[in-house]
Parts: sequence; C-alpha cells; structure tokens
Amino acid sequence: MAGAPVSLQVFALSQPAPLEPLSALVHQAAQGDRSAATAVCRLFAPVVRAFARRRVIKTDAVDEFTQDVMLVLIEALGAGKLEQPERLGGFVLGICRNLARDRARQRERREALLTEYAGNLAALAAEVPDKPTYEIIHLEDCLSSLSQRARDVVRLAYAEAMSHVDVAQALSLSEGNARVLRHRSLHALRECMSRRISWEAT
Amino acid sequence: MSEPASPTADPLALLDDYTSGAMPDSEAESFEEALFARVAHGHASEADFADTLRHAAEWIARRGTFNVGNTRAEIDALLASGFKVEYRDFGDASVPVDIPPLRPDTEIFVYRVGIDLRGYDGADVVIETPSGEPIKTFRDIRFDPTDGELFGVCEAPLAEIGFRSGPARWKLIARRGAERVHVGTLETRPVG
Repeated sequence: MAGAPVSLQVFALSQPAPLEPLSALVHQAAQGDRSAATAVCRLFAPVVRAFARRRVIKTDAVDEFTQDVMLVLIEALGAGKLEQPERLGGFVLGICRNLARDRARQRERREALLTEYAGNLAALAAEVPDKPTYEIIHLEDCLSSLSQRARDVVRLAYAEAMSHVDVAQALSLSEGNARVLRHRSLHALRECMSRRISWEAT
Repeated sequence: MSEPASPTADPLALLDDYTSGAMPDSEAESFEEALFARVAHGHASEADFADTLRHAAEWIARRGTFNVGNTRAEIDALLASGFKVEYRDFGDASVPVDIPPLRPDTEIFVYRVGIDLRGYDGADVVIETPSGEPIKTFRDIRFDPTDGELFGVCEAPLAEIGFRSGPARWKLIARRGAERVHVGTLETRPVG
C-alpha cells in the first residue's frame, strides 16, 4: 500500500555478512535481482539511521528517512546507476545528503517509489517483536550492572534519543562529563553484551 | 553552545558523538564519509551495535524494565497495565525461596522482598552460587521510599534464566555514606 509506514526496526545484534561480495550484489541488483538490492540496504541501514539520528530526533522520522533513502537506493541499483561498486559507500551517503537537503520536494516522488518497491522494504522490515529477543534481555541484564546514573544516560541518549546537550541538562552534568559517562556506559554495555547473559556464564 | 569534544579515536565513541550532536558539523562531514565507506567494506560493527542498542533500549523503556528496583506505585501501575505479570512474594529473605517454572504466558516477572531499606543511601545485590562463585551484581537498586521494601521487575525470559538456572544467594548490601551493611541474604532454588 503506497504511503503506508513500514517499520524498519531490526533487532539482530550483528548484521549478517553479505552472502556475496558487494560488487556481486550491486551487479545482481542491476540485473533485476531485488533480493540483492535488499541485502545492500540491510548492510547500510544502521548507518543511514545514524545519519538520520544526527538530524532528526523522533524515531518515526528516523524510520521514514531511512525508508526514503532505501527506496531511492533500490531504484538506483535496479537501474544500474552505480557503475563503480567500490564507491557504494559514497553513493549511499550522497542519497542521504540529497534527501536531507530537500525533504519536501521528495514527497511526491516517495509515493511513486513506494508503489514500486514496497515489497523490498517489507523484506527489510521487522515488526517490533511481541516477546523480548535475546538481545533485549541481554541488554536488560547488562543494564542492571551499571550505576543508576549510567542507566539514566543510556535511557536518555538511546531510548529517548536526546541530544548530548539535553542529556547533560537532564542529569545536571557538564556536557563534557555527560559525554565521558555516555562513552564509558556504551563500552561497558558492549563488553557485557559480547559475553553471555550472567547466569549462563556460570 | 557546545563544549568542544575532546579527541577520541574509538569508533563507538565517535559514532556516539556524531549521532548525539557532540561532534561539530565541521568534523561530521568527513566522519560520515569515512563511516559509509567502511560499511561498504564490512568494517563498521560499531554502527550495528549502536543500532541494536537503540532499538533494544527503546523496547525496554516502553516495558518499564529499565530501572533496577521499583517503587510500590510503579508496581501497581505495571499490574494495571495489561501486561501478563506474574507476582511473587519472597518474604523477608529469612527462609529459602523455591522458584517453580513461570507460567507460559507470563510477560513480566515481579517479586517483592520485605526488607526495610529506609535510612540507607542505596544498595547493591551481589549474586553468588551456593559455593560463593560470583554470578553478577545489581548496582544501585531502587526501593520503595515509604516502607523501604524492594520490588524487582524483569522480563519473563530473563527471570527464567536468572532464577531457574540453579540455586543462588542474593546478598543485599546497603550503603550509608561510606558504610556498607549486609542487610540480608535471599536464597533461591529452582523447583519443578
């Protein structure tokens, strides 16, 4: 259905490695293989969302921007517009920047692309799960080992998508101290989540 | 006006600076060019981690299980929320508590420990096996301010792992200034 929002929530802890080298995927996509185009999109989705996060706050807006980028990318790959696969990173970034520059003008074009490529987006999307995934309960386990202040900074910065300035203000910290706390908390969580859930390790 | 961010070469910290806005625009342009180029070569695992963290954190925040320890009012709100909550009263930790399997449809597990933590600045729970092997530490647990009781909340699958992997001792260590007080030990053992 054109215009229907498609959630791009992805819960896998690590993105699956492409089954084919990127250049092969780009070539296959240009031959009309939509699963190859989807694989390319899946690879870039986290950084496209990071690009959007820097510019917009609300999760819905981040998802919509990501969806728009993917629609343009899928179309461009299918049309064989990327002649040098080794420049794929810059190509995707260029789409991001162009869309960020002029969102309003893209609305009409977005509807047309959605009609054509909604199937690709559906393959990329994963509905918010009814039950917690392993990654979610793993994070819950790891959060409980942090200090309350570290949990607060993760909640504000990641669950509520606050900017670094707002996080610092909410916690009555200097921006520098909030940044150090954020980085330390991130590293503690990444280290914790690289192991098994606490009780599974004993 | 943002304070200038100190230099860091760590990819995860740099990505955090980028998305949070701590990185100035003058640096962000070249950063994102390098980031997207690294993705094309499969070398940006920090982006996958940050993306997963954000989605999982949003999910946990929506469920109300972000904090460690809850107030009675928060528990009442959770019980009225429509989630399938399984509530267990562990008493005052003076006798071991048997933990049968959770009901299959349980979404969130809630437990109460009737220990009075009023007058303390905070508390940790150190979990060990019966032989004293450390399992983990819950840091900075919250408790009810009116009666000092401890309410724990966690997702049912984590409760299954945490309470039913084997017998454990949950040592409650409270803080008052620099003083640390062993308030009690809850022994749990899976049954059934």
